[in-house]
Amino acid sequence: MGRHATIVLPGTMVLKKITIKTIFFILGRALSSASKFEPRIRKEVASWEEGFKIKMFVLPSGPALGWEKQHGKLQYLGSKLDHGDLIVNFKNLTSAFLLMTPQVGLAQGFAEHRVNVVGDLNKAISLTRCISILLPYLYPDFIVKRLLKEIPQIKYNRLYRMLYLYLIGIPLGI
Amino acid sequence: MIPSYYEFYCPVKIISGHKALDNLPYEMEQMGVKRPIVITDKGIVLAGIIDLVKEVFKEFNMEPPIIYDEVPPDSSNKVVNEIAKIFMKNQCDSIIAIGGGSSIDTAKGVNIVVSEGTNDLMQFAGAEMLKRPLKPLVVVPTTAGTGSEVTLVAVIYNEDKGIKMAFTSYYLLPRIAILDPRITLSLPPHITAATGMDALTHAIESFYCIQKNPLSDGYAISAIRLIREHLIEAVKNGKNKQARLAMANAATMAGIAFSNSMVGMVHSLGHAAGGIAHVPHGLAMSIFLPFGMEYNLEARRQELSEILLYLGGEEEYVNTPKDKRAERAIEIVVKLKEELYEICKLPRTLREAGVEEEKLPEIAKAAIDDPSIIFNPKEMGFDDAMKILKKAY
Ligand SMILES: [Fe+2]
Repeated sequence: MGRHATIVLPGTMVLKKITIKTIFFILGRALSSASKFEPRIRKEVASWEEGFKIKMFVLPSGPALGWEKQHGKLQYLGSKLDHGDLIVNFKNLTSAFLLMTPQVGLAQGFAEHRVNVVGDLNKAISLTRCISILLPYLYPDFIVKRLLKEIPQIKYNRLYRMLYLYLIGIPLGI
Repeated sequence: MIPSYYEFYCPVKIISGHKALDNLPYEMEQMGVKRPIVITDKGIVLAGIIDLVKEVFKEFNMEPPIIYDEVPPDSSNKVVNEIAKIFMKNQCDSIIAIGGGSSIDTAKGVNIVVSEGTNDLMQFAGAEMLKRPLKPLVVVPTTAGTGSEVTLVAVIYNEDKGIKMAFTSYYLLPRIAILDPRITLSLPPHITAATGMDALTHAIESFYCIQKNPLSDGYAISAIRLIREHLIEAVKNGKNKQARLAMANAATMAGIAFSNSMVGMVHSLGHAAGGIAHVPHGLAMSIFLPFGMEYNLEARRQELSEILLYLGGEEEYVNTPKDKRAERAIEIVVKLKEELYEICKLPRTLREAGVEEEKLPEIAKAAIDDPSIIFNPKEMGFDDAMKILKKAY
């Protein structure tokens, strides 16, 4: 299928890296912010131990993204994290790009072995659920539909939350 | 339909046939090892299989292997550590697991401990925690079901924490699996039935879950066909070597299929029911399988229709209208459950399996947290899981 036939030209590597870095930043801050207001994400995070560190990393040399559970909330740590209790490694730049831009959904990404997970798989499922719940706050339905088997129900004012995320949560990191 | 991208891996040498076990010493020699430890349980000793192993080693002028025959049905990190000590003390260099899921998983655990030179198995729990190849492991499965002889998973009970922990790594894959019908002849009917249903579940789930691919499909289809032709006979007439060999092959093929295509919600529910209400794995698979197929019916109608050809046979397939084939495949699994209940009282529902109804919410909660849920075609939330559990009660 066409969508996977990405041709890597010189220079696209740099572009890809910048794109992934940007999306890592958005995802990092958005999930951290949503772990404060979205009850289902809060519940997931509550089941992890305090100080639990999650790292996403694009092999072999980054970009990277880290979170740590601090005071019951998920704190975004940027790319500064050398250790992770749960590590999600993207096997290469293309895989990270496909999942992050987002052309391939999380479950599909697992099925296509695009990531290698190091650590407790139950926590990986929990993290996957968090991101699935977050997606409708980040993207419109026509994109979410492509990424998930089912669009998670949103019980709160979605537009307001989307605006909050993009105008306050992500830029200010709260 | 061909997936836009997939991976497939199975480096296990399969040795299948009557008296296949006689090849064991030769294979050990080929791998350059001399002092294996056999990890097994008392039932296997009683069935005379260990004597058989000693004899084939003697025939090959090889020293008899060290034997550990006290693996309990639910093995744990303590058992693993105990065996690892015996391994070290006797300067063993390889492992032979003879038994069902418990012995095989224990052997995989021992392999981690002795190869990594650790005394803390649990630090390697989770996915991809091993960084280098382990000692050669040969598996002789005795239950024709779990498929552990070709999988990269081990599940070991952590006695200190009171939970089962999963280990997954390509390094956990055995080097060799030996399928010898003599080994499974003494398996009682209800265990033959339950483990056979586990194999069927592996094959069916791997045929419709989201990681399916043309190679795993090939294994899944062949497994389903063998199970249709031989499961009932193996349960009814355990001494039938042909049926036993066919079931051992089916279980291994289903194992290769699901370790490459993964399983879905039937396993999520089964793992949860096992962890919380101690329902044996194969039995749980038998109970949940038709419900899982039904739940995924609309998402996977085409695959379920295709399954009818292997599950019901050619005539059944041709005589069933196209738009009814998926439903018919589910009916056949329900019928198979009834038949197994008639023959050996294999429980059909959670109630018959002795599960208390109050435990259902806890099972549902654990099921949606199980890693296999990610590969299920349709999303399953808590409420969905509860609905299915109530239907299966
Ligand atoms: Fe299974």
